Amino acid sequence: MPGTLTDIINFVIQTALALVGLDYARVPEMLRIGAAMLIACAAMLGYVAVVALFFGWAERRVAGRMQARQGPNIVGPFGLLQLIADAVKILVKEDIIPQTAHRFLFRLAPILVFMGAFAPFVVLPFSETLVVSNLSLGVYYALSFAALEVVGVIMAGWASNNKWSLYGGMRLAAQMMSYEIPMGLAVLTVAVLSGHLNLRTIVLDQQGHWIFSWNIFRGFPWAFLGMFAFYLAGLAGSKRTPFDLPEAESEIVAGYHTEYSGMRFVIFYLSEYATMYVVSALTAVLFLGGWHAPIPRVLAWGGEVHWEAGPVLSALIGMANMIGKSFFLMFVMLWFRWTYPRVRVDQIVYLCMKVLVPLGIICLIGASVWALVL
Amino acid sequence: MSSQASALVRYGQTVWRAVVSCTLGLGVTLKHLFSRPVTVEYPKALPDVPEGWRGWHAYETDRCTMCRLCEQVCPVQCIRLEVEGKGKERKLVRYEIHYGLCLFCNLCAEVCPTACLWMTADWDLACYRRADCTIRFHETNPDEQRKRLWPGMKDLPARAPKKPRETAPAEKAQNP
Amino acid sequence: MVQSLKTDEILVNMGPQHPSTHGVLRCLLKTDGEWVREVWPYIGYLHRCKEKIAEKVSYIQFMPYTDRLDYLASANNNLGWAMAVERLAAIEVPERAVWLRVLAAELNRIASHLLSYGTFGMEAGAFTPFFYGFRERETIVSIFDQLCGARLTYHYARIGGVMRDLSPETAKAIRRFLDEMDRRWVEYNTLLSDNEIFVRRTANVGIIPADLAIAYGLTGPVLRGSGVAHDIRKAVPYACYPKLDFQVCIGQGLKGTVGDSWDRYWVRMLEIRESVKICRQVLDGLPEGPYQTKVPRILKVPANEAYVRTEAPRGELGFYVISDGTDKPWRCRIRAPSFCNLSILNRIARNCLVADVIMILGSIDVVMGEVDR
Repeated sequence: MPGTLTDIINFVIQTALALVGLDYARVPEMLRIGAAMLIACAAMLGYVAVVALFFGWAERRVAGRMQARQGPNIVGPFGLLQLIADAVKILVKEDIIPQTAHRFLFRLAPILVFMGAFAPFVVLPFSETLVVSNLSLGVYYALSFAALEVVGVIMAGWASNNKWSLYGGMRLAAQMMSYEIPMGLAVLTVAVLSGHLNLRTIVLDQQGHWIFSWNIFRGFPWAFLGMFAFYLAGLAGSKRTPFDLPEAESEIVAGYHTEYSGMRFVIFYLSEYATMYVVSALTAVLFLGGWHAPIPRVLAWGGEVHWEAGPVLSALIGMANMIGKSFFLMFVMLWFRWTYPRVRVDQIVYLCMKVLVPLGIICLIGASVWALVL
Repeated sequence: MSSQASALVRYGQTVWRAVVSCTLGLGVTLKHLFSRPVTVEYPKALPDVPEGWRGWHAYETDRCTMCRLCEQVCPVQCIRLEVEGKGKERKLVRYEIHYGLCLFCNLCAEVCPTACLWMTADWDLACYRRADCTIRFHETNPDEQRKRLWPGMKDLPARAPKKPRETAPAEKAQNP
Repeated sequence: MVQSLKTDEILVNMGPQHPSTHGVLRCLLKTDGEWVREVWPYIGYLHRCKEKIAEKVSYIQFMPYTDRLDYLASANNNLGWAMAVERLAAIEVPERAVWLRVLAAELNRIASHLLSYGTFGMEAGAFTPFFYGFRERETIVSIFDQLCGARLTYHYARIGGVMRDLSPETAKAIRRFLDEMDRRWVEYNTLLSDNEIFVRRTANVGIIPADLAIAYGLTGPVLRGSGVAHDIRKAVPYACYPKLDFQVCIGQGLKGTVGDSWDRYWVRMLEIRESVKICRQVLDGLPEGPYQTKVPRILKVPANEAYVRTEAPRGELGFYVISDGTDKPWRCRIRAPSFCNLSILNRIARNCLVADVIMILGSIDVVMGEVDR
């Protein structure tokens, strides 16, 4: 089996060490794994930052054009460097902690939130080889870490000692509690169809007949409906419009991050985009065939002929497919945000409990029947 | 039983309505995504200011008869006028407008019997200090004073000084 | 265990600096979790002594001050003040001026309702309607640019006429805009009015029954949203409105109950269409003639009193002026529609969610410049 990202990194380290005359085999195993993990994490962190920067720009640009205005277009070509300018501005801002805030929890909260948003990146496969950790319970891991975010947000809401922040925290608690369920049900639909919880295997399972072997068509209509349930639940999980109640600026000022500024605010901002990416990438992996191109046989882009194109090229092509799909789904999130009003706090629970959960259960039962019959 | 069935139908209708209306809404924003923005990129492109805009005043000392009507009609007393001498010797020593107070209501221009005070299409009125809000029209060049307020103003295309409107019906109508 | 948990209602200050309190309104909310038990609006943050100023400046000089009452509907305020003074001083206004004033007022009504549409969408969480509303409003504002030279504080009406005549180019621009508006109106509804999320947010929220609306002295779209067909333009016809054909739009509970937030919003949307209709008629039927009559520069008004009611975008705008024979009013009392409409807030925003309070406040559509005066 071709190696995962960790193996590739190991190979790179080995080569590098060989160049300076060191024998890789003599390095203790713990150190080797540790180094590989560190490098993989750094790569992922860089990727998250780039995605967040790019979508921070895209969000404003898309919003601008949808609202018949320009969006950022001064700094750099098409305003692409706007976010860098903003990052510099925001980093030199004064870091304010309100006097009455709980200082320790106030500082801890953004870290927890970011951890919850960042951890799922470990199991996201970018191509057949490019996955940091090929966990056999990948989906489970991703979902459980995504739930960590709510702890951080409630912490931020409470520690700020601001009533609006508290509202934001409590709203998110209600929201996340409800949306874990349909999300889990939708994932189960896929799990039943493919019989795996390993994200890489789930994608490998979807190769074959163009888009028709992707889960959304393979398990038609169950996985198709399941995708909507998953995506909507994911939208709620990443606090995006129409489910952006925890930070509803017209109601509760800025929700849980009302009191945050400077670097700490950036971390919240970063984790929002990271979560968006995770949800989009998971949707792509679970339902949209992951790294498989929509038209497999053309130019040997397909999964089964990956290795004919050579390991590097096929990894790149797979990555391009995967990122393209994720970015499209993220664009849909932006599109939603600049089109829809926000739902109310009781409606979000209504939507979850009375629409998405029944939908998820129907999908699950349907998929189970299909799995038995077909 | 039938009430439950009708409730289910209503539920289905609601979900369907939500899906349809939300999809239609997406179409509107998508259409705008690919259409031209309406923004005027301000520092690069200047807004199209029509004639008859009520901006900075223009004032012609020569034609002024020092009747003080503008000073009297101003609702906020932002015009200050000082005259020295008597009869034929009357001389204007001070004509100031405080733009921090001015309402841009055009009453002063309408009341002027000789149409020596009128409002122009100059619209960039920002300044940094309160003292700069006062423009001394009795001094040599009020335009220079304005330029001093805001260095960026020099980059803007020069505006031709406006002649008073040919028909000044408001003035005529309000003059007894 | 649950019994021993101490729960309490908390008081939250919404405003005076809050993203959706329309300026500087401060609402004190008594909340039980997300449930709002009671709302007390506190006003006065934008008080500028307008009524006292009216006693200190002349009738002519007070006109630009009326621009700043309801700063989103300057032309309507001007119209009201001009009519009040003209009734006191018995000034005959040329027919053309009357029509031009109505044109300005109706254009301003569209602009005001567009802004209300945008901010209401914004309060519901949708940003884009705000920009669309502002885009069309910008066109109106540019028309006012040409018409009277200002973009916000129009000061278009004068005692005894209007400031400037309507030029053919401006008339053409207005016609272009009205056609544009017809197209956009449909788009607005697709984007916001019919959106199920928006409907769910506003329908059955903040219901004002008709009798309650009358009891609280509500006027304008807030009253008509409750199904009461009361419009000063029809009830006490003034200016050239009797000659124009338009309808009084009322809330019918299309999406929920009569008198809910959606109805109030929908009445505004319908009024935009009616105003477009009125503007077309005014442009078609604009009589020729002078646009200003001779008014003495120092206008001495015989001792008398007058109350003039006009239909501003937010409701009945009343100017009660007492003159004492000098050139200044002895007393001027302004009946501001927003002020009266705001009084219902405490009554209807009870036992609802925080998000509902925002929607109710948005549907009442207050302008603090007018509430505080």
